[in-house]
Amino acid sequence: MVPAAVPQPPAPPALPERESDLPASRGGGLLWESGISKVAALAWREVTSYFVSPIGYVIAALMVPLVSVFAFLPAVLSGVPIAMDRVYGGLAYLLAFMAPFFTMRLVAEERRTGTLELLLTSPVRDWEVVLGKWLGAFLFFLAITAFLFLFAAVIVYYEPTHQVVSVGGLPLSIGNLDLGATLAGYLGLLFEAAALLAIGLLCSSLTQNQIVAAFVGLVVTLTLVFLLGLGTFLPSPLADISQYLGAYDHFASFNQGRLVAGDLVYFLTVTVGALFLSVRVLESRRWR
Amino acid sequence: MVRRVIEVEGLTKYYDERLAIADVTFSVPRGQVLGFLGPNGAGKSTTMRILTGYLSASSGRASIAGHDVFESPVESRLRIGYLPESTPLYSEMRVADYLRLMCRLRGVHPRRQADRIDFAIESCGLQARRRDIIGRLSKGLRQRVGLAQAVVHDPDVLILDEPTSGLDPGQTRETRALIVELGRRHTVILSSHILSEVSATCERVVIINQGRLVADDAPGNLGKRLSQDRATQVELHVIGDRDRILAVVEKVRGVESVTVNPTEDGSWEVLVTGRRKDLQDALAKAVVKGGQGLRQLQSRQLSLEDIFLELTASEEVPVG
Ligand SMILES: Nc1ncnc2c1ncn2[C@@H]1O[C@H](COP(=O)(O)OP(=O)(O)O)[C@@H](O)[C@H]1O
Ligand SMILES: [Mg+2]
Repeated sequence: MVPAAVPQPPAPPALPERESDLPASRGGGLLWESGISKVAALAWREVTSYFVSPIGYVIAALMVPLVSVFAFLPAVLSGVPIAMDRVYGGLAYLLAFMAPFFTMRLVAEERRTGTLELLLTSPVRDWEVVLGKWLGAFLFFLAITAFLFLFAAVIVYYEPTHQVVSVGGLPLSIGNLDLGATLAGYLGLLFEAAALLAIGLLCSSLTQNQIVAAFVGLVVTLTLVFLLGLGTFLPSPLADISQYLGAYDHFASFNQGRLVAGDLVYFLTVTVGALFLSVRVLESRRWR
Repeated sequence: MVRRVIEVEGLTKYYDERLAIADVTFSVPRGQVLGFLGPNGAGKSTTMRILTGYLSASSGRASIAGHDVFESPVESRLRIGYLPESTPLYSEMRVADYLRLMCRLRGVHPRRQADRIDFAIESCGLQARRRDIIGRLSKGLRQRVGLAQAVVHDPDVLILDEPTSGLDPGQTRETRALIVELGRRHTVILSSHILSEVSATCERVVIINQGRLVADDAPGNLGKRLSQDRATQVELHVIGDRDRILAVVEKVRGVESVTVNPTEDGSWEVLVTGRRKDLQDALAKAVVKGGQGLRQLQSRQLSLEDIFLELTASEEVPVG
């Protein structure tokens, strides 16, 4: 009963017409070849599944009150002229807490339910999966922070002069909005979100347990945003290193209206690095 | 187009130190429905995961329509529709939306997607379920959605890992019928640990045990070939003289051994083993001609199930 000695079975009957051995009119041309259409399809699925999943609702529902209470209101109540940087600043800290919850599901859940096997055996490259999922999380972040424009609009409405309006006896100070600084701060926020979401995605790709993914992600993002910024107390070379590695200072530089190449490089390095590692983690399954 | 759609050569896979499949070689011509049969842990899923590019092999080659699964994974996967063992689906999505996503991921032209989705939904009998959320469907219907996603991009090859496991008998029957239907349009590899399933749906059976191929033939031939070089056993109940019975029976051509035991009703129970297809007929004729009273006669032919069990029974297999 040696396999090699087994005779080949008879020829099969002819199949009904097929256009080719390829999928029915494979298409999309360059968009397909470049992977853009696949990345877009994956990102879109992630965005829509955020809006049907409880965690998506919870995050979206928490976002406005949290930012309002911790960032917008204190600024407005402070009595000094305000701009968006106060809001961005609050959000930049909040993001360290929230990003891992945005991303914990992305790969871990697919690993747990087994859908990852179906995804990775589709004609999709590993980097397309990673990029699509990251982009989905990023677009979701954009969507649920869209209310920031509302805050900005409130400020702009009172442009050009700073004034104090009284609402229910509370003196509210509303101020001049510097468009350049507003956009720079927003850009800084986007870069920080990009980096933290990429780190969260990496953590999600390492496990099939969402809670573990969120917890490990939290440890990393909190360290990056809070802990390293406190390194100024360390002896001199360590202090500089820790400050450079901390994410908040790089964001703060944007938020002060400065566009510095170094900050850009920092966020791009973290983002691309974490995405690259995620791709390697997905690839590693083959060697196990 | 390549005639051998699936070619597997010397495929070997170790999980760490553990050997899962060893030197698996077979090829499947276009249009064939191949049953991949073996007990649990035989290495069926491992082979399929290598074919779909989910795992890499430790050594050996595999190709789909001439595209090596390791060297050009995207090209080979374009031609594969795969249903993993556990039927993993995005349970929060609606059936049609899910199929659209799969079309997009698998390169169906945007203008053809609606047609392909309709086709998949109709051929899998899901017309009434288009808008249903997948997670709320019954196991049998989810299995159909799994098959629909496998065919939605009209792949050359379907790889179905135990497509009826966990279904009730009615659902199993429906799913088998559906697979037979799909087999008209696609080359299919279907794994199973149930012999009757494979012989009912497949033109050809490959039996794998402990990671090695042990048989490869049409289901009919498999039974025939195996029973040919195998002794058949016939049990007779005869009245008469013990020695005469023995003499008559032993003279029949092909008989190898005879044992005679007394029974309570005064007849003799005669157990005959021999290598001859019509052993039963020959024995009956000989006994009657010899003037003995034949009370009862039955053949103990091995069923396909016995053959399968015998082939896959744990035995020492040389490693190398
Ligand atoms: N991920 C894995 N890691 C280690 N061993 C595995 C893994 N998957 C399967 N195996 C082992 O490989 C062998 C073949 O498994 P599998 O291909 O799943 O068999 P089948 O699908 O025929 O039941 C089994 O002994 C199984 O325990
Ligand atoms: Mg299996």
